[in-house]
Amino acid sequence: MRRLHEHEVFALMTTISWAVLCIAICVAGERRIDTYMLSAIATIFVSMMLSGVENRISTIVMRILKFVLATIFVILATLRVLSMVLNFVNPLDVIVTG
Amino acid sequence: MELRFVLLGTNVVLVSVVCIALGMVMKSPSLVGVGFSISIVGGTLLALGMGFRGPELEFLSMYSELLRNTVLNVLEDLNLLEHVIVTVPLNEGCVLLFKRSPEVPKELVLPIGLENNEPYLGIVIEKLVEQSEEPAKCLNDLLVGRFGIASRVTVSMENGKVVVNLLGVDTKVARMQWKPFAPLTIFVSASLCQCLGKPLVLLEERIVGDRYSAIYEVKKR
Repeated sequence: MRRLHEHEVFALMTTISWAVLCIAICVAGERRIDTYMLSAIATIFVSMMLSGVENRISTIVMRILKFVLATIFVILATLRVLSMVLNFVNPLDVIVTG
Repeated sequence: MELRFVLLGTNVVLVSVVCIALGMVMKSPSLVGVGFSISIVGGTLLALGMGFRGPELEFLSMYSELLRNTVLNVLEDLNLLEHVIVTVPLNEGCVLLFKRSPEVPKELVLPIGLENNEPYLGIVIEKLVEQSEEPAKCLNDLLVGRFGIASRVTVSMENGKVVVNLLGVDTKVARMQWKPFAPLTIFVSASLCQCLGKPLVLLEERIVGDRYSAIYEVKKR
């Protein structure tokens, strides 16, 4: 079997770790949508750092991707913390249940 | 671009849409959460596929490094390690001259010539751009549009001097700039010379982070 390249290692690591994490969260009965999204983003960042995929993606695309993921992460985390501190209903929690 | 990852990413995003729709219909927050989570992974794979740079680039970069070392050896033998880069238009392309003095030679002898008992090394560069009145557009088309090594190029001209600024220079290209005979120096000098159709002397160049700037003096033939 040939040696895997960085981007293939990244895809493999992300998929496996994300699937394991997602199943675990599901089994734990988590109903908050942002928890799933935050775990996915965290998984992607960790895989990025460990696999060295940055060498395989053009700098501009990498910058945009990191910025978008970090922005989503910050918004979701801020909303969750604010909803707990200020005691208001997180908009993401009412998407499904209405 | 890596088609496999683009297809994989697109499929994963489609699956996520189905998951979200199903979760909404079944009123299952977990399924909607998994759907959104899949869409993030799918989006990342899509971006990975779109911005993919193959390993052959690394191979070519090593190859160019080998050639650069050879040129540096020639420069060393000619006692031209401290040189000035003079770019002279030639036919549709141009010649990059490594000289001790910034004068433009009257007659070019390539690749190694003598002028006033001083040797120079000349490297012919084929046509990269058309001659144009708009050097900024010219350089943007080549360096940003075709090569994708920077995000923007600005060119300003004053008192017979041309200042070129490159913003958002690719990290790998910027790293290669620390050594002599750097690719960015050569391509910027050659394309600017071909665009203006006049001989140029590189007076100063600088790279700070992802910003590259070079100052040229326009010479008469």
